[in-house]
Amino acid sequence: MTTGVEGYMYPNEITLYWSVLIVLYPYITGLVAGAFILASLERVFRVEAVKPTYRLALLTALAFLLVAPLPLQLHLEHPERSLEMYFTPHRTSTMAMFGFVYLWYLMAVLTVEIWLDYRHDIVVMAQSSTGLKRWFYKVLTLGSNNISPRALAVDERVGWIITLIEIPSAFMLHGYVGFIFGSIKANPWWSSPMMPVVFIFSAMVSGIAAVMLLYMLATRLRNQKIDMLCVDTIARYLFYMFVVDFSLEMLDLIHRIYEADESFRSLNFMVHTKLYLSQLVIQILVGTLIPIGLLGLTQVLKLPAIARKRIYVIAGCLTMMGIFAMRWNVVIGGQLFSKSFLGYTTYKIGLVSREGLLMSVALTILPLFILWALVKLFPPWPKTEGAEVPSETPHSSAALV
Amino acid sequence: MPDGFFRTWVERYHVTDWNLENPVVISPDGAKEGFPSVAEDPDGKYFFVAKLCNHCADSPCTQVCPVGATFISPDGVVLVDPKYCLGCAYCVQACPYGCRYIHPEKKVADKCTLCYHRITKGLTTACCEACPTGARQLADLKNPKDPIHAFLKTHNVQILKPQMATGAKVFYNGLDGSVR
Repeated sequence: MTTGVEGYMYPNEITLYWSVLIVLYPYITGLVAGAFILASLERVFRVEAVKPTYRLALLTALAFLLVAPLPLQLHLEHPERSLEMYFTPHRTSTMAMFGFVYLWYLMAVLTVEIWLDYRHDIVVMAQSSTGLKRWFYKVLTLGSNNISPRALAVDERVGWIITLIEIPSAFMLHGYVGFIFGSIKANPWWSSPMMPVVFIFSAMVSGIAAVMLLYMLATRLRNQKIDMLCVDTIARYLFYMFVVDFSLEMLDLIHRIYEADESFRSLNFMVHTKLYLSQLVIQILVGTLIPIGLLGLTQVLKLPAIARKRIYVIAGCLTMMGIFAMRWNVVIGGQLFSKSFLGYTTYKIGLVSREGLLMSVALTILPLFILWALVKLFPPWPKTEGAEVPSETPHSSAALV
Repeated sequence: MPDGFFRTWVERYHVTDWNLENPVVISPDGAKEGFPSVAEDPDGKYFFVAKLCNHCADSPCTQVCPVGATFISPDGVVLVDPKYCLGCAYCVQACPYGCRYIHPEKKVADKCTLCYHRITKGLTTACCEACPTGARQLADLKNPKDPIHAFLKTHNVQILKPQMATGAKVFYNGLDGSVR
């Protein structure tokens, strides 16, 4: 008998086929969707207070989106055949169709929006920089040096429309991942029409928390003052999203407990044993209830700025951890129990293997390096005095604090 | 066949009247080396269930394959093209019966092929050939003269997990309600 198995598992179920990389993938696309939704708060819904994070949120979304296919490619046994999903997609497969959603989001909306918003700066930098950088910016101008007020007004208008289209696209990007799991009738832990909705809201929570943390970190590193109205507003939206997300997850849980279908006894046992630490402790208590409580405190009490900042950092970090745990519990949890409902297996994560722990850590850190490079190439904030002229597009007018 | 993965396996159930909903099931190494002997249980029963790919007519594994590497042949057999398969394991997740796996050496999805290489030559499957009691039988549903049609009409026949609506084509005569 294989060690790590309790009860009975169909023999082919004992190995887990979807590893921690498949946990990382929805986590990363979730950060993309969430970061973008924060950006759209300002652009479409005119929440002026979060303007300082607009460009940073877009760059964050791009950095994570570029890394998103990597865990999938590393997981595939034949990554060299993966382009067949684009050339000969099987149209009934959610996984195949998702490839087009990803491509649409990356090529048709996110990069176009970023280009439109930065176009003025790109033209200025193409003229003012030297060497390889000059060549780089010149290519990005796509041949147009027109930064007249009329041209910039057109950019603004088109950019607004793109952002409008991008909102449902972002929901599609991450909701689809939820649907990839939620449409598997064979797996009762996954199969649910709530899955795309829960994924979307938890994505928004993690993405907003990520941008909030990155903004606070970047501002500190630049020795600037944090715009408290900005972070207070972000934290408020984070709180609202979190309450909705938590309600959805509790609805799913209560529904399962009340209906108690054939899978319930097996899943309930799994949650209380195999997933006790990752779900009950990390996801629910530490990753959801405590951050909601902390953020709730900032909403009802008048706390000084220093206390609010500390709470936001703690809540943000716990949130990121909690949402990762949620992805873990969905993906890994869905494979720990037998479809016979008679047994459980164990996930043995490798350390240095292609799908192991070190690889996951590397893939989580890589987008931060990419973001650092993007921030260097496309500064999301006005430059300090003495340096080049800050951008003055009709749209981006973040005040220097 | 690689160690630890099975295209077909046999389960032994021990059902007593107090654990109808929770039978004790074992399949030691897929029952390749048989089962440990047990004493007769006056309060319950032991029986065997052979499992294999159900070659579903509405197969969820075929539905989810992103490149169509898994497909249904014109004669109704669900097959995998190993030259096209990405090894993404989505089909493995989608199968309600646990009959698929990723081959550890070929790195593609694998499962029972209904001995396609034999049945297309007029032979029966290897598992039916090997069965000493004739408990496993291959039938041709498309042939109106096949004895399966009369058998289905005159016996209590079930498929596994009918609620999944997969159109499973492996029929079990007198399947016990406790079978998973």
